[in-house]
Amino acid sequence: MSFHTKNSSMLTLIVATFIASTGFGQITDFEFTLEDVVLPKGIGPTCVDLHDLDGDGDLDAVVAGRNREGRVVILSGTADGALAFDRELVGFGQTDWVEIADLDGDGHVEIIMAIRDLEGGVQIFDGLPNGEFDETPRRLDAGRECRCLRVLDINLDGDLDIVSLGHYSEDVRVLAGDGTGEFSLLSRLRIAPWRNGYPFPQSFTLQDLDDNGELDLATISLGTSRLHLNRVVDGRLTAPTRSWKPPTINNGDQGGCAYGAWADFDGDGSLSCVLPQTAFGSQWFALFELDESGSVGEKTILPGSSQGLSWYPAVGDFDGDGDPDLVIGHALPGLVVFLENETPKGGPEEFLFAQTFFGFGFVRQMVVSDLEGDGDQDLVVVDISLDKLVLMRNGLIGGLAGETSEADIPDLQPLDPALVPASTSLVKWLSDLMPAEARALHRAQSAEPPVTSDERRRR
Amino acid sequence: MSIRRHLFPALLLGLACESASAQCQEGPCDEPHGGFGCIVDECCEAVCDVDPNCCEIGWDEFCVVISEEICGGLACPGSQPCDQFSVIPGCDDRDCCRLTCDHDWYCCSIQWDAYCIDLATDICSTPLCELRIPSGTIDESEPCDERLNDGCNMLSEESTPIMLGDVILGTTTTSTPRDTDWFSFQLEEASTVRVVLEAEFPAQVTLQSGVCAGPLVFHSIYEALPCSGAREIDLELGPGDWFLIVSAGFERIGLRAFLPCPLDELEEGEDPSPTYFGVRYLLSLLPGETSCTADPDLDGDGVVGGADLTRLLVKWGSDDSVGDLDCDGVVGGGDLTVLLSYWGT
Repeated sequence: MSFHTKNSSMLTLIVATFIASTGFGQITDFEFTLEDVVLPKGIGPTCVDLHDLDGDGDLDAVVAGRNREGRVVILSGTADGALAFDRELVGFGQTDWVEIADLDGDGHVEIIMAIRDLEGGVQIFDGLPNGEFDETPRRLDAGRECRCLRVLDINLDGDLDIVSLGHYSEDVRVLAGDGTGEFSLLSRLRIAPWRNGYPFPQSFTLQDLDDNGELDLATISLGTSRLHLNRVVDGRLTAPTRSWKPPTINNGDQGGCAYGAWADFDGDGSLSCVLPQTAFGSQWFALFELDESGSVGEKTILPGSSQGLSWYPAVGDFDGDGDPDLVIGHALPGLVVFLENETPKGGPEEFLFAQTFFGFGFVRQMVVSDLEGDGDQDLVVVDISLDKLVLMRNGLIGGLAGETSEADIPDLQPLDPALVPASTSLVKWLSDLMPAEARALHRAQSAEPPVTSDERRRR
Repeated sequence: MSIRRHLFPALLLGLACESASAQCQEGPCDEPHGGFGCIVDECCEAVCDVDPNCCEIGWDEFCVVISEEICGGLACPGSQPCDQFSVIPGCDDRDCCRLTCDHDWYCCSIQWDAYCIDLATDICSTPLCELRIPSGTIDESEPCDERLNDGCNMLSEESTPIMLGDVILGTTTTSTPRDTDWFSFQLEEASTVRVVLEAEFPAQVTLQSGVCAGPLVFHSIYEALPCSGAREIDLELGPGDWFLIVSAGFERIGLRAFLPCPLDELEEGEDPSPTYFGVRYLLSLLPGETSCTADPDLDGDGVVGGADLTRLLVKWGSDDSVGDLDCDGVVGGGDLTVLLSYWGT
């Protein structure tokens, strides 16, 4: 009997080890249904912001894009969370980021966009009644090749300000608003000048990261592959800049990073920054956890997807268990990869194996939002190469889902490293890819490889 | 006779001048207009090299097509002053425009923005000069085609040590990967140091501390314009490991081009890149001037005693340099220790 028990225990152990080693039963298992929102051809969407533009109670959307005509798409939302093409606006050029806010307090929101063309700057479509916008945008000087911005009251004077990032002018700027929709430069911070000529900042977050009552600026730059932190004092971005680099991956490679997402994964009250590490081969992501002093106290590197090139992270409680889960959008092949948070309180951070959704080209950006107002967190995925948004509706509460994409795993070719010029880094190259280039690469990856004579014989 | 002898060349010269000015006259380069040449000399000359008809017969659609092909970045002279913003590339002083655009292609390809105005202001009136190299300098010993001390910009994380009193003779270039020279030094205690930078090119020096893995702390940045004398920077630094990083650039933005390395490998048939400024700099790290007095004989009577102690106690807790014997910025226990150690002497 004891022998049997022992054998049973051993068998259980073996099975458990097998289960653990294969990941069976430990794979993230969220339920989403996918719904394409096809955009007009050639938009090259880069970013979406959701807002009830016309006051009908439903979320609408504005989509920025990489197209030389400066086309901007407005999508009209319905009560069930669907989005449909409404109209286009034309701005100054390619745009990489969009925010929607009422800058002048007149009750009509404005569309504020980072102009990604080399001329750079911020373009504003002023809001009019009934969800309309002035079709002639105005432009604010905000540095060269703007790739990211935020709208918030950074100096706490009651008026919204614009903080913008100049990729080619190596800076983040605060444009202080006066409440009438006019702005003036309040502060400028040069990012990583020690990386002389190559800092290429890409994105930033502005929030009170260390819970000391003051805003912090967290910038990620392609050229340094680092997280940079600054304090904000009276609306000004202040020195010194502290920066950290992620641990190396894949036998000593330094991964690249473009975007970060912040959450308290271990429930200890301290935020961590997720930095997907873009590199050829297996994908990893770094977690930088802040300590009480606002410094990175702990760095962790964890495995992500085995395919694709990780690009954009977002955080949401997708299973409704009260803790933040992670989702990472990938490029070439485009994947949306969920990682369920299984971190015990106080850490260390643990995530279940990745759950992968296929069918994307290059996931450029993602927004977590409750689209239908049913209480769970859905995901809006921006696919720059396929001119579409994908609404990933969470089946947690709404009950719409019921199938995952695991049953149908396409045979995707990994990107050939030789395609990336030696003079640039993978992450910078990805950031600069035009939609048409990304589309061509996606097609090449999706195409079946030619059948060799050996294969033909075997068949 | 002599008049006739000189008249012919003069007439020829006059005709030549008239012909040259006729080649590139008014009229946009991106529209057919039938005039001779177009207003942007660089573009006009390049197009007319390809098809002389554009300057001799008229600027037609074909000239426009050629200009679209070859005139990217050829925007000098532009139509607006070099000290004014314009969404049109280039500015009206051809030499200044070209010099600026050689160092920042953006100014002749995209628009003439605030950085172009600043760059033109800083370099167009700057004469070329060579550094005078004092004796006793320490050579950086980094060939311009190698990256031996690029600190946290390279995986090797190597830097060049610099000691108080050292004067480094270094070079930096803008060839790829862009050169940054990291000099590391250590301070045992809080100190005032003086950094002196003089360069043959627009140079920036940044002050950093920490380690590459993080936190790497960027504190401040300073610039030294060429031929404008040495830039002296006084820094009050705490104990620890510090870096001074020299590269091409300004406080507001890096300089990305036109400081080539002569040792760069060239493609077959490729000419070496032209350059304007020299690539050498002198970096010194010196003990700073301290405003505090280290002499405990505060009343100057030649003996350290009770009167000095009284004076010190009067200054207790203040930042008065008179009683700050240990130069830590405040009069306190450390200063009392120093004074007592000299008691009676």
